Amino acid sequence: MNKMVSLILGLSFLTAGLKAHPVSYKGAVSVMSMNQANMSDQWIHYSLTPRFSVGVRSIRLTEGSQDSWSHLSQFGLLVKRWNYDNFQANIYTFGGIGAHTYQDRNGFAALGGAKADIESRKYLFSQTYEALLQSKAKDFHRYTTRAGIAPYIADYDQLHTWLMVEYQFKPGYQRQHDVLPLLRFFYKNVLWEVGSSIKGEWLANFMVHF
Amino acid sequence: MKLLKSLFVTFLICLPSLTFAGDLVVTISGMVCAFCAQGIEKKFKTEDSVKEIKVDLDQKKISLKLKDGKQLEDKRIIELVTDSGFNVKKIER
Repeated sequence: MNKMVSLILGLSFLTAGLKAHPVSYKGAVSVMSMNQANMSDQWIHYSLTPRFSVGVRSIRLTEGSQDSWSHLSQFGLLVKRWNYDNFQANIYTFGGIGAHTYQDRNGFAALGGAKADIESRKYLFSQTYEALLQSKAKDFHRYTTRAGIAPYIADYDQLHTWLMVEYQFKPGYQRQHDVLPLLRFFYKNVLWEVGSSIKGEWLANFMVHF
Repeated sequence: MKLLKSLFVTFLICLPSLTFAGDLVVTISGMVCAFCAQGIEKKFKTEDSVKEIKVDLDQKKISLKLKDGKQLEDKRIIELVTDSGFNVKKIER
């Protein structure tokens, strides 16, 4: 048990936001939209099994006044899950290939990453690392750490609320560090988040499972 | 009067179980998030034999009411829960 928690926390430092599990229940279609001032990230994934999913992903990165767009085919893999009575922990990996556009030039893009999370009904902690390699623009690396607490324990059919804070480290980018306090809500199969960086830039995320 | 009060309180306490008396109760490990547990409800609702499902996150249990004359084997229950990403701990009939 202690070994497992240490492993999750250790992987934390290897490894975005939302409940962006790349894999859901068998047959689920997951639609995710994560939006910040300097980045937007849209996913549509289909879970072939509870451990493996395929999908498409579109990423906008803004650096200065320049946007780069990447469109990728992506897989998601649940590497390991621990189901316990009062918590669940997971390790995921994902990767994809596609194309990108930057300053009217087209090139190849590839993406890979890993995510580790541990969650109870009261607390949540997750770490994600992802790298987006772009042939005509500079590569993007992001380390995301997120911690959350539920101010009340809601029943299954009630509105769930979480208070969270997210830290993003993007080496090589103008804005290398971002701290984002945010609120997460979910009700049935719909989840949404709103927040702002401490510099006042907005964040809005949305996710639904069909 | 005291007896009536006691009967009324007893009725209120028993009301939830009177409104949903499941034929099957399945204890599930890892079921800590209502958003993720939607998959369990969806999976069982598509099962022909299932009339009604109730998810209890506090007890980590689901209660199933079956349609008249229908059965649901343990093997199938385990398969549905596993496909939802969780593990079955106990099945009570």
